[in-house]
Amino acid sequence: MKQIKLAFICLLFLGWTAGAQTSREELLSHMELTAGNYANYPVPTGHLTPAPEGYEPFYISHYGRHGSRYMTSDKAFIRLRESLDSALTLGLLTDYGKDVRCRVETAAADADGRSGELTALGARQHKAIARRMFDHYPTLLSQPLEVFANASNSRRVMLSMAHFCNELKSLNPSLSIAMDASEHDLYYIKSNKSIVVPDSPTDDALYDKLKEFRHRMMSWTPRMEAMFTDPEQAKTIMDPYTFADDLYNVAADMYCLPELKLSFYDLFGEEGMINGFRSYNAAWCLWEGLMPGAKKSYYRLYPLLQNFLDEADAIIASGGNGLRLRFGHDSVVLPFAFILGFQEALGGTDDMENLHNSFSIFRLIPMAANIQLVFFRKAGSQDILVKFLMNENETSIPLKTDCYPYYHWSDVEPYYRNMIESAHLVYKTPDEDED
Amino acid sequence: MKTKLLIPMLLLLSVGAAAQTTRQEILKDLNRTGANYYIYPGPSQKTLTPAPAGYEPFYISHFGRHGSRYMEDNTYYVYAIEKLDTAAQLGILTPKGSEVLEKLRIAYADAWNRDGDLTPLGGLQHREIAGRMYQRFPQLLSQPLRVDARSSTSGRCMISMFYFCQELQGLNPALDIRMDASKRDMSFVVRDEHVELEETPAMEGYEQQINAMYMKTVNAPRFMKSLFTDVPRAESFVEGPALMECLFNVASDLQNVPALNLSLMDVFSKEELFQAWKTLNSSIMLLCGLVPGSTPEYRMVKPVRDSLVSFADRVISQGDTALTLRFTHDGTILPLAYLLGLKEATGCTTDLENLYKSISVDKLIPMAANIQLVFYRKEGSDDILVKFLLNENETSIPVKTDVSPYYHWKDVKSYWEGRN
Repeated sequence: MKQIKLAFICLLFLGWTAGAQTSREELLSHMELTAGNYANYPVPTGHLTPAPEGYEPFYISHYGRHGSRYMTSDKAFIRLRESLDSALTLGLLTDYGKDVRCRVETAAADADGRSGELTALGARQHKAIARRMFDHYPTLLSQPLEVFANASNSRRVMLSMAHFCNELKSLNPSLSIAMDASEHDLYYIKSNKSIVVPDSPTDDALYDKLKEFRHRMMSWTPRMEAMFTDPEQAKTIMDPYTFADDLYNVAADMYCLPELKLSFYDLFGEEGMINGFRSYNAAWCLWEGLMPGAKKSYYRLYPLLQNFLDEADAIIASGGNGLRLRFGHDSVVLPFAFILGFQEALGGTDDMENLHNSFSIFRLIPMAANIQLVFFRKAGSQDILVKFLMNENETSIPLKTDCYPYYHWSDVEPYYRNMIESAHLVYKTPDEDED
Repeated sequence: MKTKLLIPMLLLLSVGAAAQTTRQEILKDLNRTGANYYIYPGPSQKTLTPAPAGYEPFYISHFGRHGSRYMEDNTYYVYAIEKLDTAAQLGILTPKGSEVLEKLRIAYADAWNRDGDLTPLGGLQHREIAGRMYQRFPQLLSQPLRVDARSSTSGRCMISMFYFCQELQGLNPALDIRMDASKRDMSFVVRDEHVELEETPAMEGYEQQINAMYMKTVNAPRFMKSLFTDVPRAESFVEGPALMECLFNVASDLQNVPALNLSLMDVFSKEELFQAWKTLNSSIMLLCGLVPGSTPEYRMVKPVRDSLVSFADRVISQGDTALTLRFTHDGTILPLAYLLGLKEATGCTTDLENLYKSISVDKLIPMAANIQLVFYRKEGSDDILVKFLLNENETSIPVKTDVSPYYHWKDVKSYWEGRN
């Protein structure tokens, strides 16, 4: 019975991730993914294509987002509590509204003093990813390998790194793991703000369009109206859009805190959660410059690409083995997947109404999202193969290959180096940087 | 006033000769003049005193300072390099001055954007301390133990915790290690800056004395002459005392980055180094409130000691086994050592000039400094014993015991109740 169940789940996931397209039906059967970039890390399909004969993995280069976290600021809770307290004082809350208020209070109390911090689930996600990495590449990772890990200087990211590395260490105590989290390396670990992003004449219009779209997506649901005895009066004591948006964020963040057993899903229902997801899906696509006509803010990720290339070339030249771990943020993983050319990140369109059909942030930046490049070599050959994993699922880049999902590094490396070169990166002067 | 002075002196005498520090001792290892920059020396005690028959360790409460770090503020580099560079352009640097400038440039390139970061040596110190903890208490640490590790929110403390925990995890993969660095937990990890303390009347006089000692430390014509061929011209754009302070800091910190294989200790005479260390030693003790009559800043860590007691009592009452690890700063370890009553942290006198003879900062809070309380119990008995380790050496508190260096936990707690 257990095996049948397992097989069924595997099939479901295969179907779910096979294409980059998202249909409404698919979302309805995975409502937890409507949390978008708050979504719990989806278990990968587990399908990995064996390497061509004779090729052995010798190096993994990884970038991972921190795991599940609290909301990065307590502003949403502060605003919600103010609005709900005022409504209570004015006698505007229905019994249902009072119940929602209680739940907001409970969630706010739990989050007090923990803004942005990693949750227990966040730590488990990273341990699980590390364990799967070990299971998938045992010949490489059971050696006394040199591991170099570094993180952004955000605490949730650092702790994600620590849990990942501890899990590896428990699986192979002979690993030698160096860890760091320094301002010194932020120029590639985070989006590099010193890089000048060229203006785009259509950017402003896209932002206007996004604003209109988001307001429409975050309009009040019938259950939100039901919180108040007089919804129209309630809307005069708060900003209705911000109220709905804050509630969606709290609802989404509850997926990071399963131990609280709190849900705000009832306020939104299927339609409301899908709309909330669509609001953020469009926003992320524009913010990171993945929408045609948007400012190419992904230029700020080229230093990370350069770091991947340089370090890979160095280890290839040395003939050694290694594991390189980097830990950071969704604002890196998403545009980085785009510049690498991952199929999941290429479906951006300014048709916001239909964007989610071709581009979905839950495939790209759930909590603990990650990108892995796994390198293989063959004894007696100079050929180096690499494969790309998006959240541990094999993916493609826009290059021809005779051994998909493996690519020849001799094709990949110049392709990316040309990309960086033709971007003609301009750095701000130190004075401009101060702003 | 005089009697106040006499009492601590007597106490100190009874504490024993081991706590005394001499000028010769400090100058034997110039790294010690770095005071709280001093690299962790490791325990001098190789074998620990066995517990009384039948007693087994069941809980360790560990408080550790982050390991070796870069200077918290690279403006020391910026100032020194800028001034020496200007002098170089004017052609008024001595060969020694040029050598110093070259070394500063190399060291600053390495330290660039690493202000306050843990150095690789800092990571190694924590791995080694964890490794020794495992070797010393294998019966406890080879179990599938619950480990509760919390760190200050500072990056260097967190990474110290990571290395410590990872070493333990490698030695015993069955350990269940929880790590966190949450603002919520700071009340029992770092000193509480909210504790309001009124400045004592004696502070003003003390501060004047410290200032006088400082001015004596940084006023060194020899130092300026060694770097500049034309001192009056140099003094038109260099403040001698400021430059000396910069170089003291850099010289003290370089021991924490041994991979660079650079030293600037020879910029100073031994007398200058001794004077600088002596001044720093007195000012640290004064600012912590350990000098009789000074503002009792150490009270800011009382919540840390309270939590130590309540965590221990919880483990004891539940009949549990556990390890709690706290990663913090020298500003917490030093006052905690005092509040616990560790002999190395007591015995401050009011004589700031000679304070070093009775208390020595490098013995207390080198990089990776730590305090360990190891708890023991005996089957069929309610008696709980505890012993104290400062930087992994057994130490004592002023409580009577029939099983030294072990103490009965109930006696320890009643001693602390009267020590605030």
